Amino acid sequence: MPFCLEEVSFTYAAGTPLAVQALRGVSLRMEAGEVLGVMGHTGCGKSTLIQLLAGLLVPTHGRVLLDGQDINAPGCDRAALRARVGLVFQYPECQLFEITVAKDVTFGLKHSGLSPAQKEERVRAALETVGFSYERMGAQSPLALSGGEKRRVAIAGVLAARPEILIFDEPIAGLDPMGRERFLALVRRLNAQGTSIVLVSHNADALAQCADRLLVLKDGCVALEGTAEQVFADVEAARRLQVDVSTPRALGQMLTQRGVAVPAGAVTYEGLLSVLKERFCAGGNP
Amino acid sequence: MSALPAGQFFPGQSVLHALDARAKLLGFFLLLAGVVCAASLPAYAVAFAAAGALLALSRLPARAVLAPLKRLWLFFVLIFAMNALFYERGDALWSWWIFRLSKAGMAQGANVAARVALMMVLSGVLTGTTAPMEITGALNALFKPLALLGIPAQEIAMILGIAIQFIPTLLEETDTIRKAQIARGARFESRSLWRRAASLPPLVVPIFLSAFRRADDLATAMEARGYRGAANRTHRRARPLRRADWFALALCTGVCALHVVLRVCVAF
Ligand SMILES: Nc1ncnc2c1ncn2[C@@H]1O[C@H](COP(=O)(O)OP(=O)(O)O)[C@@H](O)[C@H]1O
Ligand SMILES: [Mg+2]
Repeated sequence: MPFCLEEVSFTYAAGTPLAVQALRGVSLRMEAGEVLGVMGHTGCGKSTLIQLLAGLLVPTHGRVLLDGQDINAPGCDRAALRARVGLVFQYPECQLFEITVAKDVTFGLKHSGLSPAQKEERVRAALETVGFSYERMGAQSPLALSGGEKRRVAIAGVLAARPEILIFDEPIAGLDPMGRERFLALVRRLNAQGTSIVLVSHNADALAQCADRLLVLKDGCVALEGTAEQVFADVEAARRLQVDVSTPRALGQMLTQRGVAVPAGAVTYEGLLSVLKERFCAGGNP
Repeated sequence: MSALPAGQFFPGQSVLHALDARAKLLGFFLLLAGVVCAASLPAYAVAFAAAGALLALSRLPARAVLAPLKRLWLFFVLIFAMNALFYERGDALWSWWIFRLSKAGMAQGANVAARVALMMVLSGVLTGTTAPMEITGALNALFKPLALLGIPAQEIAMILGIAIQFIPTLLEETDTIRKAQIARGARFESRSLWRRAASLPPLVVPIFLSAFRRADDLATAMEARGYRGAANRTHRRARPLRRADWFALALCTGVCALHVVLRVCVAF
């Protein structure tokens, strides 16, 4: 059980006239090895939620528990927490600063106590995980890369610490289709290796493909929670919460309205296709 | 970042919020001149009373406006101590090694500390009741006569305005980048000065890069919208000052004059 939020509220600039309550009594339980998708309209508190998970913000009320231990308790080892939980901010390409890609990816390992050889091994592996060769990329300037490449380098910089839990804030915003596919493949691969993943995104298709469970926030509260099938079941409810349902689910809804009943559970293209196949090709053969 | 930055604007409906920014800015400079003149107990009584009255009139949250003073308490102690212990003139009350405590020095220290505190409260009230864009507009208007002297006043006002507008964005960005670097293992909490200096590049490089990028984009956007320097630029017609604005200016002038009189007539 990696993560638990207990009735967490968070207020920015608390106690001043400009206070903004970003989260109101959010409870959440995340299981080990899970991919959790987080959706919600702009300003609903997604980024605040994940910064609380990573221990970068301290709840105004409530507790954040990692393995049953309050991460904001005075005795908790923050450095150990940071090593276990990796957070990739939105537009992580903005955080690159070193002269070479290799140095930038090594940056997070400075206080890790690893030997230089171990660090190099980690950096090599992290770069390879995001699809770069250490030999070809390592010596380049990160600032000379393209936007998508920069983002991959920044992700490698977080992967190098080998966190058990990885949190991404809108990681595919502004990526081209290929970049998006590559990112989703990366998420699946990391998850298959046992990493728990939190994915904040507006992209319902991507979440339907790779999230085990979805969380929809509205105005700082959890509005919906469940599998993609459950969350996307009621298309109208999703619209009221200002989130998209996945394209296959929307198609299924349109077909249903036009007399071809498609069950609400068909939220991925595979699901929709198999339903249609069963209906239109006798015996399920094409 | 739970503390608000100094100079935060608080939208509101007070008398001071309603005044014209040009009047407020001029009045601010007049009061500032008064504070600089102050050197006697009656003068400080007047100055503190004026600052207190403005704070009350502004209906700003006093705690938020005074918070920067509290955060700088060490600075105030230091300037008082430096003046009290190192002032050259006056009889020494006590001296040891390089230190020399004197009454004149203590007076000087109290002077400097009180002036800085007053200036901070006054500027807090000004920026608390005036939106940044209004301040820029007022600067623009007040700088206009400088153009006659060949000083590119409009350009300077434009530069100041843009700088003021970018401050909140840059603060926000700094906060995000600091968090992002902490999340991947950076440590900024270190107390050792050397370590702190070493932890600057991960913050400073990304912020500079982003500031340059923003500046570049803004320049392009301004040119695309037809900006060709300030010469011959027209403005939306400025509202004339109203009675309340003139009244406020008269009051500020009065306070400033009172300070000058006190300076001349009352010895410390
Ligand atoms: N640093 C901050 N200071 C004050 N208010 C903030 C800050 N960051 C976010 N907020 C406010 O908190 C609310 C939630 O923001 P955020 O968590 O960033 O939403 P999301 O990521 O879902 O778009 C918004 O109303 C936003 O304006
Ligand atoms: Mg966000």
